[in-house]
Amino acid sequence: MREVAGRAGVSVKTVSRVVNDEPHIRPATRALVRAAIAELGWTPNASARTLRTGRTGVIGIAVADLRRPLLAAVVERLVTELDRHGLHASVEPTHDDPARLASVLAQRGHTFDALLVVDAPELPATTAADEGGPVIRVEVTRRPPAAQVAGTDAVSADLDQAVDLALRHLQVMGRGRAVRLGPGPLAEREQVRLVARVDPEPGRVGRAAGYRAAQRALVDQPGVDALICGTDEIALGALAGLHAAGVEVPGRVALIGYGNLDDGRFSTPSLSTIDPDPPSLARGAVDLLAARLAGDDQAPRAITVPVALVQRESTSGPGAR
Amino acid sequence: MKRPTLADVAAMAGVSPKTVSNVLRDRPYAATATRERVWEAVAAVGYRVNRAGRALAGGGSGRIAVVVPNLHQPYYAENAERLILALAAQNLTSTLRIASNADAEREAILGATTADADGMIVFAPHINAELLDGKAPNRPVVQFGSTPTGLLDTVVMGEYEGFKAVTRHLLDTGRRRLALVWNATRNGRPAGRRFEGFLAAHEEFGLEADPALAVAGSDWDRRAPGFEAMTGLLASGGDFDAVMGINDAVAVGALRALRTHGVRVPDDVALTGFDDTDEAEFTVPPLTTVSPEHEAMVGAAVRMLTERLGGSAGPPREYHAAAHVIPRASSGVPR
Repeated sequence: MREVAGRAGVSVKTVSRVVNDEPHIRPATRALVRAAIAELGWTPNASARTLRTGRTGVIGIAVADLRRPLLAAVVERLVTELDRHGLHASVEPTHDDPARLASVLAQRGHTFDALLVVDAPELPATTAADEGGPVIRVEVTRRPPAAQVAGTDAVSADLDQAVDLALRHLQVMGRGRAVRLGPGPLAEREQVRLVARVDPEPGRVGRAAGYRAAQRALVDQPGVDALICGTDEIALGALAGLHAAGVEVPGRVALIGYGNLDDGRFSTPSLSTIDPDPPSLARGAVDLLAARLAGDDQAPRAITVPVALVQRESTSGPGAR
Repeated sequence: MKRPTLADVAAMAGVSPKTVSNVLRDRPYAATATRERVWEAVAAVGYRVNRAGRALAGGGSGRIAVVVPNLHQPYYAENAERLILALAAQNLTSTLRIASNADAEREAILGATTADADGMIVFAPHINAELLDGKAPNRPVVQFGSTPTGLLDTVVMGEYEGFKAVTRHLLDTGRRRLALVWNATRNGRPAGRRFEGFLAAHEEFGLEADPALAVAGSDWDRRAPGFEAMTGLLASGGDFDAVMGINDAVAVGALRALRTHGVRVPDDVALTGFDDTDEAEFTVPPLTTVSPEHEAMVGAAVRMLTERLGGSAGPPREYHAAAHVIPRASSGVPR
């Protein structure tokens, strides 16, 4: 709208009055504004809302990294939910850079009406909901300590339940010598503290990390009969690593991951996993966001979304004991 | 010697600094004569247009919108990430938008939904010149992949060369009956540059491809339709010794179908994909694929964009990327 105003040589307020068809505007001025709109090919709809509500209709989504399929899936769900509420999404990758996150937070009230922060390591202490717009944390694979989250809304996957489900499932499947492959939610929670852990070499991430770590686990932890993998990406890499080492899955070693990535449905064997339920996470977060934007100013809420065990061939297929 | 500033250019050209800024940023406000005066003044005072911080210097946000159709196709998510990092290396911040259909792509390119961006890099599988109505956008836009429209700077993927090369690889290793697992098209037959490469490789070998071996699933661009289409072909009893997925995601779905039916890869049937996704390296067996040379494509896109942001004018350009085969175990010679 600024550009239309500049082009026509009038104020933004005048443009808005023409767009909203208000009376008492000189015909010459009206014509100038209309001509500018036509020349610039401007569509007033999005900005008309700006005038009525003082908002842009754009919600920022801060996310560390798009190459992690689970985070990309959650972001996509968030975009779909926002779309259902008639809101546009702007995705801001932060790569865990605090300066970048701070800059995105600062855009509330300017470019964004509000911000969804996916898997943030921690928010700056000064983050407050009233500084330009609501902030909702969406916690999928990590959960910072309680002290750091006080004061912000959060919708979180139940990571404690995730570990419980995985451990109990392996127990039922008769596996007594599990090893954790980190990093990731299944490998890092308090309950699995007593289970031996193998971490990838520094610098390796995702599938490549899982590949090598699985092979190392065979050596470091002889007799291992199950791998609890922090994420599905680690698990998929581990699967390839075990296959390369001639180890049968699930016959000799069972595998479970976290994330319910699409890849895991199509691997051979297919991958047992924990589903953090991205649709429910997204719906919960966006419903809360909409409530805040509509003026709900009650105390910050912490919503926990249940996860589910997905049994597939890597723990339950032929060869499982 | 003092470095010439925007104000110096303005003074020499006899216009306001805002006008100079508009001309440098290619905004459509200034008359041609004014533009010429400004550019002459730029040359005369020796003002150096700072490409990287260009938009910042001119008062813009320096934000570039990267527009993708979705984030579930690894090709889009991975390349969006690469573009964002490459833009950051040029001191440009980015914002990512999802435009899931032709209308959304059009609105993004023409600026309706990307008003806060000073430039754009767009993945546009649906767009064509007709949909754009012959309109050129009012700020720099670079199209990443897909068919050039003639209206935008475009980085063209080496789809023809790449698919021809991987087809030749299969024919070289003795496969003769190549099945295609494709994305559904309107008339039900494979089309596009990848398919043309497939046919060209056959022609070089004096062979004809069997149209009955080309199948597609009921959805677009995911693993599930790859699984679906492959299962359908297996059920029909078609005779083939190699399967070529239109991309890695579809090939992964097909791999699962083959293994579920007890078909050994590569001993019974070879399998190939396209895109060089992270996933393809760790399938069992690892998947032969084609690298469209993502880094070169990303570099070219960012280069073309920063040149336009720096004020370079002229007709839309095309950068044609190369492609190469990454042979892995899935297309190995049967023992």
